[in-house]
Formats: sequence, structure tokens, C-alpha cells
Amino acid sequence: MKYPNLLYTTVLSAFLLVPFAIGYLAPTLEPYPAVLLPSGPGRIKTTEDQIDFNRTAIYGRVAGRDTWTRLSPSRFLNPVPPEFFPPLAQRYFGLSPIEPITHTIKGGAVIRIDAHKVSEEEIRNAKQWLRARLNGSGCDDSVLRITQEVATLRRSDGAEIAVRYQNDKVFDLR
Amino acid sequence: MTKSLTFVERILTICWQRLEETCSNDARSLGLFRIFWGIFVLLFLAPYSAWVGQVPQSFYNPPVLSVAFLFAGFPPYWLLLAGDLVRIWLVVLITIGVKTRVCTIVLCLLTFISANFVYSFGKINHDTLLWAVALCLAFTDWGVTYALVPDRRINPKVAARALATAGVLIAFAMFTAGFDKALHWINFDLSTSGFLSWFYSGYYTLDRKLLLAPFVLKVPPQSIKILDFAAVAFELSPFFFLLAGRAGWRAWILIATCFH
Repeated sequence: MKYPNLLYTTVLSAFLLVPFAIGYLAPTLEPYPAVLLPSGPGRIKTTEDQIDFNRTAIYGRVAGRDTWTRLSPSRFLNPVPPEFFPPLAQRYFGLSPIEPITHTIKGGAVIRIDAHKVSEEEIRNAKQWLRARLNGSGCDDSVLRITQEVATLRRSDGAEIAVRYQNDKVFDLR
Repeated sequence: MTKSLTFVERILTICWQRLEETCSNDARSLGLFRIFWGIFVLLFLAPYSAWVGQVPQSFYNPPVLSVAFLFAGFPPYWLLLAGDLVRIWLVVLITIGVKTRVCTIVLCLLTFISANFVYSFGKINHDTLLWAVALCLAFTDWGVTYALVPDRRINPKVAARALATAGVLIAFAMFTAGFDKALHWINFDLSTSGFLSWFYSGYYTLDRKLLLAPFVLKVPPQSIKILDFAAVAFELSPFFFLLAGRAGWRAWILIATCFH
């Protein structure tokens, strides 16, 4: 072989750089497996004593009462790890009809991909699973509330000062 | 054209020789590392993906650019459990040094497949580096010493290149972490902090409050701005230390390990 190091470096570079480029330009299309580490490039204002966090939360209705209680994702979804909760809840656990996935690439191009269809039987199974979890949490098993919200915390002690609900959906699980 | 290619080949040869010198290790050291690696994986990263077979199929949302996207849903529980048991057994075999080379390759490939389904909830965890480095080590002599059924010694050039490639993977992975940070964290605006954005998220939403974490709250936020620059510098520097030599690379690895 005439240029062994050139060939090896080219192949290795493609293996590393192509997934990195895809992950950077279109994060929702990040391939697996790929040699990448999470970047977490967010910033936060440090001049105020309050910090805002976007979060997805699930609520169950307290059995026999008309109040909602926020459920702990790690306990509610066990054995699903808590870090998988936000994308799961944002898709409403597959209970809502899933539109084709739209990926916007840096630069403006848009890619549409058909998502996996969820069958009626799968929705029934999911509702049954969620109802069992709600029962186990001491909540009314007929409804589940999923919200996208912005929680304002006091920076010095983490006390929750306010919650703004941006998107609120209640699912009938019967 | 030929002249250019020959020139590039010569440069790359020098670079790879340097990388191989930096990352070289003898079979004895690799054998010891293999044992520690196996024990660490068994204690802290024991393969377990069978739970995926017990959740509703409506949760299935695989990465588009992955093998799992070709499947209609999560595999059944029994198949994932069988895969877990096989992988645990492979880690045991690697640790005690039985046909390490083959076991390592099979383990890594099975892990990529099962992890693909674990990461089919809409989020990918970034543990590929661990298994990619292990796959590189399969092409070294890490199964030759301190092994019950030792591997045959591999061509020293292949082993040297495999170790250098492992170093490149580690450096590149860290680079990917620092690249986007560099675009957003490097500024002289003392009213914003990238480090604190990462810290508060872990502290208040993931309950990461151990050891020195509470002390960060007592430090004036503007003073922490230096950490934005330090983090970016550290994460973008590994290739420099890889080419600088063994001492520099080992120091960088030590800092990376202690920090994380």
C-alpha cells in the first residue's frame, strides 16, 4: 500500500468527523454509535438572584380530591432512568398522534422523517402501564397531566419562587 | 498530485509515530489495566438493558441514524436479558483473561446493539467512548499477560497503532465537548456564566450536592467566569498534549480523571 497512513487517517477522520458534523448541524439527528461527549453550552445570567429552568413535569390527581401533585420522574417511571423523562414526556409517552419529525439544520434546511407509528394496542398498553404507576403513587388512575413549565428558583438556596406553565395537557387514560 | 500525497503521507507518518510513542504501553501494564477495567465494569457499569423489554412500546423513539431505527419496537425482555447475561459473562472472561481479544470485540459489538435500544427513548447517553477504546485495546496485547488463556501476541505495529488510536478517540471526544462550549462560553461578559449554567442544572434539578458542590454557591458568580475559559481550554487541548509527549498526555489524563 502506497499511502497507508493517509488512508488510515482519512478513514478514521471520516468515522469521527461525520457523526460530529451531523450532531452539530442537526442535534436531533445525532447518530449512534458515535464518539461524542455532551457539550452543554448553555449560559445563565449571574446578576440576578433568580434563575429560570425549563422543565417537563408530570402531575397526578390526588385520589378523592381535586388537586394535582407533582410526581417524581425517577419513581414514577422506574426502571426508566430519569434522564430519559424529558424527551418521553415531550412526546406525551406516545399517547398523542405523532407527526412526522421535522429537523431544522443550522443554515435553515428542514428534513422531515416519518416517526414510528404507535398502534392502538400500544396506546392501550401504555395507558395501562401509566395507570398502574398512578395507582402506585396514590393518584387517580384515570388522568395524567403533562406540562412544559419554567420554574424560577432563588439562586442562594434553590427555593422555588414561581412556576409558569407554558403547555399543559391532560390525558384521559380510561 | 503524487508529490502532495507523498508529502502528506510523510507528515502523517511523523504524527502517528509521535502518537504511538506517547500512547505506548507494554503487555504487562495492559494486562494489569485489563483486570482493573473488568472489575470496574462489573462493579459500576454491569450490563443491564433487559428493563427496556418491560416498558410500553409507545415509548419507542430510536435515533434516526442508528440500527434501532430499522426495528418496529423494543426487543422482547427475554432477548435483552440473554444479551445482558452474555455480556456479563464476557466481561468476566476478559477480566480473568480467557480469549480476551475475541471476547472484547464481541462484547463491544453487543453493547453497541443493546445500548442502541436503551437510547431509544429520545435521548442518547454518551458512553460510546468507553467501548470504542476497549475495541482498540482488543487489538493490543492486553490479553497476553495475567491471563488464564492468553491471546497470541499481536504484530507490535498493529498494537502500537491501536493504542495511538485509543488516544486519538479520547482526545477527539473531549474536543467535541469543548467545541460548542468555545462558541458560547468564551466572552468577557461577566454577567453570564456557562459553568454556572451547567452547575445549577445539576445542583437543583439532579440533586448533585455532594463534596464541594455547596461551596460553589458561596463564591461570587463573576469570579467563576474564569472557569468558562479553563473548561474550554482544557477540553480543546488534548491533541496538543497527545503530540507533546508521554508526560504531558498522562498529566492531562490525570486532570481529566480527577475533574470528572
